[in-house]
Amino acid sequence: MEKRIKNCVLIGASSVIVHHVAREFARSGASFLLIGRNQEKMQQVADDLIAYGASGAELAIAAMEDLLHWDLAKIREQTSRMGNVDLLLFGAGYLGEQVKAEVDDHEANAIIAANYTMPALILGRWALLFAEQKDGLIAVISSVAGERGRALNYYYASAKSGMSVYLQGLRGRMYRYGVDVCDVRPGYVRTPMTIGLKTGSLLFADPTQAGIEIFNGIAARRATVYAPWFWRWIMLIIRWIPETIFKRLRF
Amino acid sequence: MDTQYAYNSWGRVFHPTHAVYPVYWDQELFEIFRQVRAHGKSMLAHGFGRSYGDSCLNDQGALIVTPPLSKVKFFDAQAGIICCEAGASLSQLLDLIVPRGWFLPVSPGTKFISVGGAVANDVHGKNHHVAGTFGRHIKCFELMRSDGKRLICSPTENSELFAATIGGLGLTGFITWVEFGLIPIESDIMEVCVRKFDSLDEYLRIASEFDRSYTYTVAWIDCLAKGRSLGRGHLIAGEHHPAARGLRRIKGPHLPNVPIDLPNFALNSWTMSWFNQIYYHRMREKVTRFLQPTDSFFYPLDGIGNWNRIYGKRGMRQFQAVISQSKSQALASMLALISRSQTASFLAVLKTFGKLASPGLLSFPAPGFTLSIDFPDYGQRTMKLFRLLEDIVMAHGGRIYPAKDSMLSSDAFKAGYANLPAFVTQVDPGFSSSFWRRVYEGSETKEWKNALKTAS
Repeated sequence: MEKRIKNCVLIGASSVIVHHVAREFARSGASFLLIGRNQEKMQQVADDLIAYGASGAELAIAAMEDLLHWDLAKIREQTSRMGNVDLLLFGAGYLGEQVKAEVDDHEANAIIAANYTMPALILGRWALLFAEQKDGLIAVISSVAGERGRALNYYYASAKSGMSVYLQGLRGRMYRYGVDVCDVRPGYVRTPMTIGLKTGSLLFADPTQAGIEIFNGIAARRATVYAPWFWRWIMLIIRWIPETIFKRLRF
Repeated sequence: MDTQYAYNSWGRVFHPTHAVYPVYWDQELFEIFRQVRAHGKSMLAHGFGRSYGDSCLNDQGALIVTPPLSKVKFFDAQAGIICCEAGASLSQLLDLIVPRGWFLPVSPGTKFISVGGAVANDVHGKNHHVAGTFGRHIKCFELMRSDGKRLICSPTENSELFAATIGGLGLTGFITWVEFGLIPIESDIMEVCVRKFDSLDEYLRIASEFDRSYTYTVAWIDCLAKGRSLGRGHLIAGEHHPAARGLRRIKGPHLPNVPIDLPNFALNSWTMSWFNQIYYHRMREKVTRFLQPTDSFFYPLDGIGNWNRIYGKRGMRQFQAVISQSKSQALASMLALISRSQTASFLAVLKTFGKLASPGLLSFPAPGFTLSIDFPDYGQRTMKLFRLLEDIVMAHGGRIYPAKDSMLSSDAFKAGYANLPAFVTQVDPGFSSSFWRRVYEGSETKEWKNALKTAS
């Protein structure tokens, strides 16, 4: 029987995708702990989740850097009121600027840290909680970009790719505890992150639709979820293009 | 600035250029306004672009695109009150409220509009004769003016701006959130009764009786029928069904989207006339009764994504006017004119508005008949027809709906909306729209003026 997801922790709670996925859990009365940097934005998300039916929505104000200092004891303390954590949904990330990163170490570092190093360290701490619980689900928003390096965004893409491989490993480690790990790979979704990207509007998904698809994937405890679904097939083709051809492509 | 979608209106007869600012968070608005002002541009909020003409466009100016601003602030499922940000679509809200036993107090013909747009156009629905316009159900909203000042508007607080903003075409400022009342329902099903009528006279005989016995009424008219059949059609009446199947949300049939513009010749007087014939006679009995999901009853066209592409590259124009109930002769002459032109499409709707007044200064509905008809844009020919229709409307003291309009003359606008002088004092100087410049400020382009001259 499918385990019901009741208690959810959202990291990067003001991300549009995380918010829309959370809404779907809220409809069936889930309760939330929202973790993020901007109190004002998170409060708005929390109010929205309550309106959608959430039985509770608490805030913890913390930037990613702060979360590096959360050890198991601190995590236990933060989630104690909630009880068992059924779902950790991790959606913090940073697209950055590829061209800037090529000449500016700070930008390059920021992209890699926000999309790989910091999430890897933070998830490591939370994994301890799940191992202790012997139950639950860890879902992380990576990206379809991580499936093949492109000249246009390879700092971001390689960090996301690293995250996907990390999640494969974590999945293996958590398997014996009965904890599932879900790698969520969104394509283009209309969010603040994709403002200004000039790509055919047919490829762009509406966040509500993406949210529903991701929710279904997580609820079904799939290892990898593409949103929208057709990206699974687009990426399959993209992975198959021989490198001699691929390196000449500009997209 | 965002260039990923083409921002246009539903009729696609205008070809504007905009600076586009999508807004995700309420607190970003101040900075966006500052940037727009720094570029010396005027601004206008833009939701889903479902207005037909240019009232949601701001050519050469800035569009502040609201759909990402769609969080719900609170939903009181005991009292039936919801408060949400302006970009929330009616579709989004229905998915939230219906399973908990509530429905929109007023539903226009599509659910793919924003709440901000519902306020700015003071939309009406099939229950106008008992519920009035959307504006009547608003408790309060917040308006942000171009100088960054935020004002809560309600019938008792900033009441002048409240009245000006309802139906105010987005010209009084940016609506950030809206709080409004809902109506209780017991199921997501409608009890529907369709009555065939074979002429306008018959419609006039039966309509008031239907309005007395049903909450929702609307008529489809075969605008291509001639002679004695002129004004024939189907009167569609409905009622929320008590607990037929509980409140589980039922999605209407989802047909494939129209992926590309159909060629212009796809819709011509022959194909449309055939279609209307079949549609009219499809119903054998004089009266049919059946059950239908609310989505199919209220939003029959929403099942076909981008149905405006059926009209091809030329685009389409809608004519919607209201004239007093005592002027049924004028209604008949309008229908005769339209039938003679043989250019109308399948989508022609007649409804009798009730007497409930809206709080909005520029609100369109008034007691009487409202006729709304889609036309493929045949250029001069369509323009000429619209001129003649407008003359009839003006001669009988009626008015034309800005949300649908693309051809209204300044004179007809000023004559139709008696509260215009009071409205103008509330307009935010930082806001403007293509419609407003064309129809009120009279800054029509040269081509447009010439076209008008040749048409009249």
